[in-house]
Amino acid sequence: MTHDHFEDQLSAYADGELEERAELETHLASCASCTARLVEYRAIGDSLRQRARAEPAPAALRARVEAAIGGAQAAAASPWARRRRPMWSPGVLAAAAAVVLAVGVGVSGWGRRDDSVSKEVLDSHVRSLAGDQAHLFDVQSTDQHTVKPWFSGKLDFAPHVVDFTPEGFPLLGGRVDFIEGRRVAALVYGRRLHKINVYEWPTGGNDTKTAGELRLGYSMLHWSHAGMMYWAVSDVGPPDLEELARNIDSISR
Amino acid sequence: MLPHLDAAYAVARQLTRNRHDAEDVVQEAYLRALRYFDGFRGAQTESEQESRAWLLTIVRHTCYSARRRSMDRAETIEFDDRLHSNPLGVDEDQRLTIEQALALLPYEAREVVVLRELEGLSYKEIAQAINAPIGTVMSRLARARERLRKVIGDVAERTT
Repeated sequence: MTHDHFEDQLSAYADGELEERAELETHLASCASCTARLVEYRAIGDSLRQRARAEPAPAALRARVEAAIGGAQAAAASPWARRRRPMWSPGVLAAAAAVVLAVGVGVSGWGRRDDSVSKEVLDSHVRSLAGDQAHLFDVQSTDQHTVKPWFSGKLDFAPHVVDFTPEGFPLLGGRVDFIEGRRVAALVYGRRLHKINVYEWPTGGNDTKTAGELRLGYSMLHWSHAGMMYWAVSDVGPPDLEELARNIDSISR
Repeated sequence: MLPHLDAAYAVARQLTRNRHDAEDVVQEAYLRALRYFDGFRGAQTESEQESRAWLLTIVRHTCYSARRRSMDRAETIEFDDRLHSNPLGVDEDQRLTIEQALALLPYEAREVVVLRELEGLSYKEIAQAINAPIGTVMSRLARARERLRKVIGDVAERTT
């Protein structure tokens, strides 16, 4: 295949949408211009998202839309107008979605458990992303060879750190977190625009299959493999977490 | 509280290319969403993620119809002065910002970039959204990125 042909594939590759990756990856290893182009394609997306974050909707627009909606509802003056308004609260929306999901997918194995680990993991995930105190990374890098050594000396075990960019889960970084009073590795993966926290710590027990649950609109998945306990949590759907779990297990087989 | 307003505004701003039109589009989109509220509740039973996708689809359709309405007036690139504080619209180093570069692309190209990079949709989802084959999505995105790359210069350098 020619250099031009590989150039045409770079965009789909950057999106994790290229099926035949092997030849392109071989080419990338030896072609600086294609590698640079790939980096630039990714930077274009990053800077667009950065711009979007840097400019949230103006307060005046929010007020204006709220007033317009209020006016429309008052004009309607029907019973549904009264019960609609609270439905717009994201909290209510997320809670409703969580309940429906829990009921809807419970039959397929995605039930709901109540235990303290699950609560701690979810708290940690929400804390890592939400508000002014958000703290997602101690080490921010997409390079597994930067992230993995960073953990040494900070944990009493060596976590599995692999970048799954080709599989559609780019490694974004990691941090040390605390679950059940012990230090654990928290790795952050991207899934399209979403973030996934994966917690890992050693467990004495045997391998256990993935078990999922939904809490407050978040998907959670936990399993153990090769002596490690894993918890993954995100706002992506359960199938994405299952896919990430398969990727993680494949490296410690 | 309005869910997804920041995302709606970001998408509308890139598609309309100016803040004034974006605000009008967002307001109209939320009123449409309210009108189709049963649809909204339907989407809501899926997940927050899907209700976001549903709302952004309405934003996109609203942009599209707003654009159709203004088709009679020639399509010009309207640089918003707050968006482009430099009157020439060009950086000191003569390179365009990502938003200026995106504004130079035709609507269809801008749309796939927004769907992919801001909405985070898969190629399959984009294909459904714009009613085109996946191959078209792939080549349109590739062309759009290449044009963006050429007009921006080294964005990797400027964002790090």
